Amino acid sequence: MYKSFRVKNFRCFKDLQINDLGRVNLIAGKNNTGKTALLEAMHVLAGTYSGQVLLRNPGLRRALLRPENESETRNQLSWSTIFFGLNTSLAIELSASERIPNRTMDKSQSRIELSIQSVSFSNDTDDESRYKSFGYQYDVLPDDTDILKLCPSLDGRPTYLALIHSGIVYPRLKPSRFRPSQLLHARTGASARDIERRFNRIQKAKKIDALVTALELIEPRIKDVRINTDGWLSHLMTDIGLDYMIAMSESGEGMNRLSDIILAMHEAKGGIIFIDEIENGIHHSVQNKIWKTIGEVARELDIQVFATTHSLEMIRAAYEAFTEAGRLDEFRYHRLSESRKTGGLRATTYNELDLEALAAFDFDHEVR
Amino acid sequence: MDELIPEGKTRILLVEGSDDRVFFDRFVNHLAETSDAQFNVTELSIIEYGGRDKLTLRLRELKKADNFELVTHMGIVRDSDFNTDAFRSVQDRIKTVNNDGPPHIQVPNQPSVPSANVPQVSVLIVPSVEREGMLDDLVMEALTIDPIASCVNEYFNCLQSAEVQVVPERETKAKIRTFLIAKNVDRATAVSGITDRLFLSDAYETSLWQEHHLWESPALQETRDFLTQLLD
Repeated sequence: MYKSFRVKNFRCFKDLQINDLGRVNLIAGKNNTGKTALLEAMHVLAGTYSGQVLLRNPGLRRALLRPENESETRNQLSWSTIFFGLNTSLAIELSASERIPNRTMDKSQSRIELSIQSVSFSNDTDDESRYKSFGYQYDVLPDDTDILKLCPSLDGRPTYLALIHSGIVYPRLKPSRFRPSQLLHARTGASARDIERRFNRIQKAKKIDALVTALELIEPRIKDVRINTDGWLSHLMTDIGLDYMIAMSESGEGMNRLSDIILAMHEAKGGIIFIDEIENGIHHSVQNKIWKTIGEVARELDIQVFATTHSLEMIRAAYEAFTEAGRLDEFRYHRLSESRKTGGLRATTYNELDLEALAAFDFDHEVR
Repeated sequence: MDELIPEGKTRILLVEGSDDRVFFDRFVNHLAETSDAQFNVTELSIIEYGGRDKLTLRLRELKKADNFELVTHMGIVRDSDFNTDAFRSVQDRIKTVNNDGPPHIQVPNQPSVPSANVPQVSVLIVPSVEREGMLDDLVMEALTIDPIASCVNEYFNCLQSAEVQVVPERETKAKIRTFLIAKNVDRATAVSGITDRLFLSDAYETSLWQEHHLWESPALQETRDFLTQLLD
């Protein structure tokens, strides 16, 4: 479980440190303060053994495959969009201190780091060996290929990704097994393949009841959830007491969102889940109960949760839910903002005492 | 969420409640209008903390607020209530939130004397360090320059001799209200407006204070000095 996290030279972050992380973390802030970028950075670090996470993340993938200048062609794609200020001369540095459960005090802390550098073959003195290590024949990649080098602290061996005209190539990526982690995006739901894999997992673990119980918060008539693998796309079906089951996609956004969250949490057992704009589709009347459910599942499966929100109601609901459950110590609220003093983005963390102070004034202010 | 410390506000005045907020807002404006000195009124934000029991919570919230790092002056106003050690109580509350970690809020050594370092922190106890009471008592004292105040005091003495029970905690508020009604007895609409409300802040909404130069009352000298330090 991350205890603190630092990101340098990534997206909008020149240097941001976030401390005192809890089991469940809610991140808020005005527009363009880096909430999604922070989730992306943490998600990339969680998959530090390889660059797969970098590529699996649709937001990052879109950024990478979009030319800096729309008039440019794909041949001129650059990694620069993920570097702070488009400046590829400084490495992206991601690091976290972790608390490892069930260890003695002196071995309970560890540190993981990932450095991401943009390197150029044309400027490299040892091009041929680099090409070979990359796994390609010497003449496959053009001279001006943009290479991204990922150096994790844990096994020390770098991974190389290359941007070519047809996209990104990554010949020697190992599966990411460092930390089970899932990122749920604000706008796009889980893919059919993800849903099928996650549902099969929850089915094997005999935890479908947990999914049904959670979905009851939104649809009290729900009795069962199944997966339909007929046809070319698998999809979930719900039994709401009718003579036939109906597709989950026919239900409202809230049902699908909560289903995605619960399924992803079960797949991330022992790891981390990132949820962007958690309030999407969730009516305020059930937010409290959904936070209680997320807290319970996170505890049961030993998951750390990072969620972002624009909603003050969601912040209040989370505070009340964890207070009512007697688990406020597990919850942290982090606010991203721009420092008027330094101009950079910073994170302000609210622990139990700070949250009680915010709640005393109803999370609002009386000012002149 | 609104910002607790809006952009550009580098001076903070923490007051107990809405009555206090209106009083100090009017007082600050009066100082700005009548003084030759240049007061930084536009940099001031007056923030309620909801009474002495919530001061710790508000300080804790302030420390985490955006723009707190830019605050240069901070004033805290507290009623002495029935506690002659109200100043020490404020000191203790600042120390409590400092135990949470940085940023640290300066702990002033004496009432009405700002701490040495930035942000300068100053604490005003009303009606005064030596006397039990609240802001209302200070206001009533200022009102004594008007002859009606003595009539009001005599009236309440009369009530006492007639064995009418006046709750001690409410007596000053009742006197001020009586004063306002007496002062406005020839203005039907004003009387109606005032009697429909209970709060001291109504007093400052009237032109009463400007008409009678009550802000210049000697009873408010310490408060005037405190605000001058905060704004200068």
